Amino acid sequence: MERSKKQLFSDKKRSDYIFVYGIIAWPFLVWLFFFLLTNIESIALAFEKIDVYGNTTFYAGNFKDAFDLIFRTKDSPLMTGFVNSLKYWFWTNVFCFPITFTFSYLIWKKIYGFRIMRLVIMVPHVISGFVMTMIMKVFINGPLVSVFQGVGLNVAMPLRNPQYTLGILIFYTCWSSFGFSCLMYSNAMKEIDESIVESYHIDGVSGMWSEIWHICLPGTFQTISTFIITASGSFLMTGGPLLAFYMYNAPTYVYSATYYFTLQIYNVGTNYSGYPVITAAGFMISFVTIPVVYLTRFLLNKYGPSEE
Amino acid sequence: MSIFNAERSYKTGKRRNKVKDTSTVGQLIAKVVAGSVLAIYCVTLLIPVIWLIYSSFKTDMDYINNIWSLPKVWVVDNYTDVLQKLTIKRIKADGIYEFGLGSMLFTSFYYALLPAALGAFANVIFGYVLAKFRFPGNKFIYNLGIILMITPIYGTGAAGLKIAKALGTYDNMLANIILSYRGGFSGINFLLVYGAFKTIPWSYAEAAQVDGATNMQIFIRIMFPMIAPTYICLVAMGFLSGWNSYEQFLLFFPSYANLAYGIYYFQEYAQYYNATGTEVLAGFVVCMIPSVIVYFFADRFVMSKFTVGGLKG
Repeated sequence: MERSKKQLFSDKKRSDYIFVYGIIAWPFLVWLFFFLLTNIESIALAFEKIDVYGNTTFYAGNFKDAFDLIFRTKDSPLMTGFVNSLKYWFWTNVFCFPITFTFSYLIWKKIYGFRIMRLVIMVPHVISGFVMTMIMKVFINGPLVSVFQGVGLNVAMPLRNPQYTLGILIFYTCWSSFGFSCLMYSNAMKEIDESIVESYHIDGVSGMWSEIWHICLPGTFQTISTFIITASGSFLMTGGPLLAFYMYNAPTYVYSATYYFTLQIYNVGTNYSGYPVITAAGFMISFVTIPVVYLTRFLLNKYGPSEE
Repeated sequence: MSIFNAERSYKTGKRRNKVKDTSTVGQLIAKVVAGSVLAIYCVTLLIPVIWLIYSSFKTDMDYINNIWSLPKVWVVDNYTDVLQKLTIKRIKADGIYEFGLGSMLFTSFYYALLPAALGAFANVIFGYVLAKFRFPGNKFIYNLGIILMITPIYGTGAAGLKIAKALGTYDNMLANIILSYRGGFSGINFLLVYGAFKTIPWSYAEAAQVDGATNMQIFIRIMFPMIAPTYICLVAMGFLSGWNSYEQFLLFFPSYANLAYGIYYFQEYAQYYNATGTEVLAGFVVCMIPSVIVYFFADRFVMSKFTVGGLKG
């Protein structure tokens, strides 16, 4: 009897393993193949020199060339990109977070008209961010300019104006990005146990700021920390929809680092000779950002919410 | 009380001091102000879209002379014109191919739906086995997914393009979709599915096992239907992202054109098409209609199922 029980358990385990490994085999192998290939190729590229005919030779100087490209080139577009990416990152993550969270709270509290507002904040995502950007490109250059002119401001070509353009693009990126974050945080708030909310109310927690501070922030901290961790690694590579606004012709002063990289890959086309330096530059960014991500995670684990 | 202390007291239910009642007139005013800001923000989101829709029914002269006003005469010619003019020529190895609106729409649906469905299904597979089965490698795969999700690796774009060219997935949409679809055991989507499976009790599976159901039958007939709303949410979001994609067509598919790429090209080279400003606006409306329809049907799933937990591991 004991043996047959063991046998049954073993059969069950075997059939579980066959099912599990069988079902994940294809997606795992596809991922493994492409992930490994891409990363091995990236490492190889960072140590190659490619001539115009496509011949490759070992070259260890790509990192130095990338360093020169960032720090020693006069008016380096990549350095401009990093500085602008930092600005994008600050405004879209740090500045917008309290606003997003407050909006989420209001939706969670079901304020008057919340159903319509919850739908409307998704508009940039529903009609697609790309179409929204296309619309705004026309809207900024047309109706908005006419409004500015109407109030006596002469803002000619706002998307080609060194004084305003970066600010407009950052504002647009923030303005159009609340939807999914609001939805995610308000859904996370919905999962807060009602008995906990009730007990806080009995203890005297009421009012917007008090509820946000004592109930919503702690109750959704797991979700918040996920996004703090993932956002902490993108401070050098955050950017707006420059490709949609300008295709390949964005003015240098609005470059983000991502746009610079994209541009290099697009422009190089079939000639790979420029790839090694940008790959090396990418690795250099990773060397800087990876420790930041893990430090953030460590601090959140140490000082943040406990597992239970 | 700091947020971290608040978190701990929230978890344990222990609070040393009674929190002060802060429900004052000031708090009420703050709530009204914040609600008004949200309402105004919503209005600012709608203004450009409403302006776009009514402007797309204007004559070109009306549009130029009265940029804000409603159309003096509502015309649909912009739409009929854009449907005729919106064609893209793409060069293939065996010649030049012309993509009309119909073929661009087909490509858009194909490229938006198939990778979204496949990728989300891969998320479901990994979410299910990692949440519900104990097997050698479970923790490794889960932790690997978390590490990959948070580790920012940059500079692989050039290598990705080189590999796509070497493997033949470059400019081959089906091969690209099958071999490099988005999804798996990493990222926000995986966390979403994993969290959803964690909340489903295993007792359903045990009852089915007593009735003789196999693991595959349990997955397909019991667990997958229970997770279907989350799956639809993921497919809808993947669809919207794929519908949006014009960069992929610039970089990976030089001989294909989807609607987003077509509209992008159309507005960028409007003079080449002899297109007026209002025809370009009509093109934007045409491009956004399918994604609005898809979202309309998926709305309740996205609204209720889009939630992400923490990074444990």
